[in-house]
Amino acid sequence: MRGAIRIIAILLLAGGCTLAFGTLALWTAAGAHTGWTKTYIEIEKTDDVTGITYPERVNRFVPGVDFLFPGLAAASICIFAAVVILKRNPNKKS
Amino acid sequence: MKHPLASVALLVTASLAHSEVLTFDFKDPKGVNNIVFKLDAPLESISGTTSGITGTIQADPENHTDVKGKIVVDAKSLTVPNPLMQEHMLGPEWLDTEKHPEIVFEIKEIVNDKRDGNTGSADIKGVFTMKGTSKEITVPATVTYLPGRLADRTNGQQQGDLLVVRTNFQIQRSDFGIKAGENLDKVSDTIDISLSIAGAAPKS
Repeated sequence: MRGAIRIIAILLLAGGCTLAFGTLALWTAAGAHTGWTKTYIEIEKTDDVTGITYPERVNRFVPGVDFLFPGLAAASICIFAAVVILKRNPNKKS
Repeated sequence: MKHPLASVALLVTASLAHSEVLTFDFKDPKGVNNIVFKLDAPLESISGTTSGITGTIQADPENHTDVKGKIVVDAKSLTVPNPLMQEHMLGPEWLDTEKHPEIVFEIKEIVNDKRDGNTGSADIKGVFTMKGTSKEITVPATVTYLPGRLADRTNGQQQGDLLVVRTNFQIQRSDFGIKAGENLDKVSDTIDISLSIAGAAPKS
């Protein structure tokens, strides 16, 4: 029983670390945007005839702080829970 | 020899032709017409756009003060890049687009008209209606009349003129019953609006 709980805790720890690393990696790779998450960006273009400048939409996921912080918070909870479980269920051999 | 009356008739006809009131349609199939709106917020300013613009303006290119018409924005076409923010913006607490699907600016009067060739600037007095509340506002605008340029925009399929209108102005969301006095720490009361639109007056 204790062994099964320890395996779950280790999986939780690995999942938490992966989630933290994944969230940080995705956020950084997408430009480390410190604003809100965007599902599109706009590219400015100019109409030749009228001279009007207009935004052209390009679908792109740009994660912001509302992606980063919940991701890191969920990862922290997983890691914290894993550490607590491992401390309460120490390995018999050690 | 030409009859002198014929010359007079020609002049009158030419004069009448120049003082023709044209109807410019602002529905733009190219999707170039746009409005950008911005509100200050602590993390980053909220910026959105719309190209859901329709409406007509009746104007005499020779007499800039003789202008009538209205510009209509499909409120549901307003977009911001964050989907949750978008949902809140169009929802009942903010714009309530289900009940108030249109944002309208109706031109009442043109003042301080200044002209330089086919370009001019003026203050446009009109009634701005949003979320069911109407308020008289004055917006500074620059207007460019492009005679015969519709053909360039339609690959020669349609002859006619273009009227380009640009304006930047501010409104207060509290004036239109949009969370008046609420959430001021999260979203500013002032909305900056930039409008760049071109209307077409086809000639048959």
